[in-house]
Amino acid sequence: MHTEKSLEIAVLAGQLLMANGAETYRVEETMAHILSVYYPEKCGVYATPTGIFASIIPENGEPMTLIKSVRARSTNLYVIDRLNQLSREFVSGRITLNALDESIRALANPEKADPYPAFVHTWINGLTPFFMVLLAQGTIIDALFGFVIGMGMGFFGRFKRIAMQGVLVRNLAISFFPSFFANLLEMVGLTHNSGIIVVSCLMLLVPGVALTNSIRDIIGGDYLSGAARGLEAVLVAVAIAIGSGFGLGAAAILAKGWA
Amino acid sequence: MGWIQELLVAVVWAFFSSATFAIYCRIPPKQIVWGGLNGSLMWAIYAILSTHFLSVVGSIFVASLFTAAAARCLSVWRACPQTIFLIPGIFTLVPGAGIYNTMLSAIQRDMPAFMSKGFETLQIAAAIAIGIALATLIPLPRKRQTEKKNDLDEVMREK
Repeated sequence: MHTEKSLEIAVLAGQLLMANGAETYRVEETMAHILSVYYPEKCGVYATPTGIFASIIPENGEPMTLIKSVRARSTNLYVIDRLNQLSREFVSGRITLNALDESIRALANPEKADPYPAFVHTWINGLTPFFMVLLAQGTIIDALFGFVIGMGMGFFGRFKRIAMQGVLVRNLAISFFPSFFANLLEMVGLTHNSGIIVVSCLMLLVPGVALTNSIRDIIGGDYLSGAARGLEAVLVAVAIAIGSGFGLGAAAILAKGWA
Repeated sequence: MGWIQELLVAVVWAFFSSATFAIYCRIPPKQIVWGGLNGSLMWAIYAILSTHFLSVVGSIFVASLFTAAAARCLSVWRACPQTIFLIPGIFTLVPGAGIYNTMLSAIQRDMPAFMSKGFETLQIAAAIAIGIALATLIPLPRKRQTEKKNDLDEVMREK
């Protein structure tokens, strides 16, 4: 009775954790914890950034395996925290399998998995570049340019046609704007720190945390996960660099036509 | 005294950068301040060490060691996974700009810059990752079961 359900819940939890940016060891541990309630020794789990695997051997039954693929990965700390809490409550016996199932399925809904209203995210798109420019010792004027460009990138990224693209095309398209506008501002003479503005605006896109997590996975012995995350980080960085290259070229052409 | 003032200003900006990035990553609302403070800690240690004592990579390593240790303490005290404080903490120093500049040099066919920036990016990422890995060796005191009503959570989470 519990066989299929606990396997399904464990794999769903693993899929959600991986899609929301948990470390590989945390994904595997959480799945093993959930399965260990009914199958203390006869379970196996395996997680990679693109797929989740779990299998169990029920008493007097055939071995069972369930696989789910992970199509896209982002970072959502709220989901990681909630799933951690839920799996611990389940293991310590304070919530039932059905309650766990319900809560996990609720977290799969993106609206339920966001503790902030939409307008907060709109402002964050501008505020992070604003503070990053100031941290990189740009002037307050540069920071305001960063704020405006960041807000513009946020709005552009929310267009349906952009938002539905894969991570590479989306990053390439969005990263056109900071280098285009920042270089244009420098050519007009409004700023001398276009480099700082560009990098600060791209801070929310560049895969710095992803690269660090990939090396953490490799240090922890999850070589396949580390390699896959590292590959994704490098490809995203290439996409952003190409988009910025287009922006730089477009600004140069525009300035040449102006002169 | 000039450098102290400069440092304090930078730490304030690091706090807000990390806190806004934490919100971007949908940190649970109660932990925003702690995520931001962890970012300040990272930047403060890095700024002090890199201007006076160590190389950039060395100071990032030490800073990430302390930040990860602080994230572990916070994870026990605030009863959340360590990642929640770690990701905002390391945000200001992860080599995001580094990997971007590396790839920009590659598409501009500037091979020497590509090699040197690429190597530095990898060094920084490895320094942070090793700092985090070493911080798991620091033993943490366990809370006693009778301290609080919902202390079971913390004992369970700490495992």
